[in-house]
Amino acid sequence: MTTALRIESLRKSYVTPEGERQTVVDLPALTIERGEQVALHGESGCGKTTLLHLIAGLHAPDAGRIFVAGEEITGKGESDRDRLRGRCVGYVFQSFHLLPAYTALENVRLAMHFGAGEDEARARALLERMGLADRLHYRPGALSLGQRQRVAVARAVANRPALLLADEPTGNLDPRNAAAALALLRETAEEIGAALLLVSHDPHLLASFARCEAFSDLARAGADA
Amino acid sequence: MKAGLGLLVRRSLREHAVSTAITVASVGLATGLVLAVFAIQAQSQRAFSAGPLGFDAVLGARGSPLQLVLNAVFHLETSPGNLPWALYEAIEQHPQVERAIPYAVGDNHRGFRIVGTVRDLFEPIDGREAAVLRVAAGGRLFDPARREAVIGSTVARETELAVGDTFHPHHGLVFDASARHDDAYVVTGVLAPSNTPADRVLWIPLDGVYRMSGHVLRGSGEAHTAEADSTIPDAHKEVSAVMLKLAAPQAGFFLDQTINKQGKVATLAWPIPAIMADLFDKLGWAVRVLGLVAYLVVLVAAGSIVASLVNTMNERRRDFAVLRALGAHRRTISAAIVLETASIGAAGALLGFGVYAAIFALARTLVHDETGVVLDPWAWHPVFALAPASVVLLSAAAGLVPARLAYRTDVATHLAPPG
Repeated sequence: MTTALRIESLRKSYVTPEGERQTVVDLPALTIERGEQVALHGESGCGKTTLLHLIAGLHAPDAGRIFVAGEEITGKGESDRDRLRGRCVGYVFQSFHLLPAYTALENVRLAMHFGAGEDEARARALLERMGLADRLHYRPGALSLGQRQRVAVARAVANRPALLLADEPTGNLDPRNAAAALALLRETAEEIGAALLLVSHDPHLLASFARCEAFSDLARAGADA
Repeated sequence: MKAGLGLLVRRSLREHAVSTAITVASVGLATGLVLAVFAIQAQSQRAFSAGPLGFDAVLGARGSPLQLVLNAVFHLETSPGNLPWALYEAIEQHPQVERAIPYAVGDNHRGFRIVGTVRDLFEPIDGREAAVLRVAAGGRLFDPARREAVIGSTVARETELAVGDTFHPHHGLVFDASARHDDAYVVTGVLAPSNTPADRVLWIPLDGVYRMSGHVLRGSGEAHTAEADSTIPDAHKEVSAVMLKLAAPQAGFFLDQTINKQGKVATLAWPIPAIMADLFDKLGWAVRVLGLVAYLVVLVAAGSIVASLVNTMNERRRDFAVLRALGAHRRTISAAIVLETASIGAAGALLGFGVYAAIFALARTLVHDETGVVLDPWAWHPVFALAPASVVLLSAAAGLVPARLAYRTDVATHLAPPG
């Protein structure tokens, strides 16, 4: 099994409005193998989302190294980080973050455009796999919350990423839709052999993961903050 | 269909359809204004500077050459005075003059000028195969010895006079119902449209003007009233102007020297295009002011592009952040915005041609109705290429401001779940 994510001595801090520097992420090490599914939980504001942003290369860390699919994302310039993110990282957000002006199909195709390259047949197949065959040309505003999250999952896996990041992916869904969306996410990750790092507060959801990590156990920041 | 920059631009334009439409309209109006100001000015100058009937010069009473040209060529303005018949005969027989056509003016019919002339006016000139002024089918030229008239196409359309109809001239160049002459003229022909000021004229025999009731001839310096059935002595005759076709271009220099510089009784307006060009040069400041206004309107339109995008920037930032999270580069987002504003500029430029067409059609109608001169809608002008290209470039440049804002969008801030 190859490594999908490896983190070494990662540190990120922000300057507070009062002018003080506050460490948000201080993570000595974290490794997730390809195909592995990991749940991460922690208190609100403890730095989980910042960690996901760092892994995705949306933020640059103050120190430390992050390897995604064997490539060090922290050592790259912004454009190269964008390219690596598009190709190797899929991201599912709590608020879905679908682009409202685009249809379900276009949302998936757009992700492909910035990642592995467009493949309309695969985009259609993914949405059909998500049970959205009759909603391909619907814009997000015309879809239910559950359907939107399924489009978001399809978009996240469209480029067959090595690593899937999911930030409270079921937080806005009712229990039935949440269970369905989670099942789809996990099944699809398994199908494409992607590692999954999922952030959640939901104890039932967390209990379903073989590997469940507490952010405070992983990080030194909790103690420092 | 690839989901690249093109899709980003199209969807953004559609998503903000109302502000897009308003911005395109303002750019279109601005572009149309620029096209109209420069193209119509150039067209007008060209149309008014060309000798519409092929004459090179006008001989008239001592005075302003411009007034002479406006009066005799464009049938505007008043005549600066009359010339004695002897002068007409002298110029008509001059070896350097190929053709001399006398005009006598002073009457009108419902505001359209009546010009007394000779039938030679309707003969081909300037080596042309056909005369510019030709009687349309179903009509004929007037008989110089009778009270007959051929009328311009605009006159026929506006007054509804047709072959066989009669009309009474009215004295003066401005229509006054109480100044009606007793003489009745029969329309023997309607001229085919010539797209010249001649379309707005009623042409009658020269003798008709001399014999018009109430007219007094002063060619000899003494008042003389023509009597029916008696020949008018040449000494009493006078003409308002003589249209000249010169035998050679250098003849103009010679006649200019002898008539304008050495003589004291007449004025030779020559060359006609130069005199009209001089008028347009004198009006150049007005064109420059209009041009300045047009440029300012374009700048305002460019400002409206910036404003429309900046106003919607907050709602766009989340989309930019999502696109970044999907792997889009900052440069891609910025390029999409510049492409979007350039597209707005291109659509506005296209619309501008429609606006220009509307303004041109209005100007063409006005100029034709007032002067008979026809502006050519297909005449090329560099502004047709420069204006759209400049508008697209300026629009793209206007996009740099919102593009810069988009470039600086913080992804994490705009991806945070609503709190």
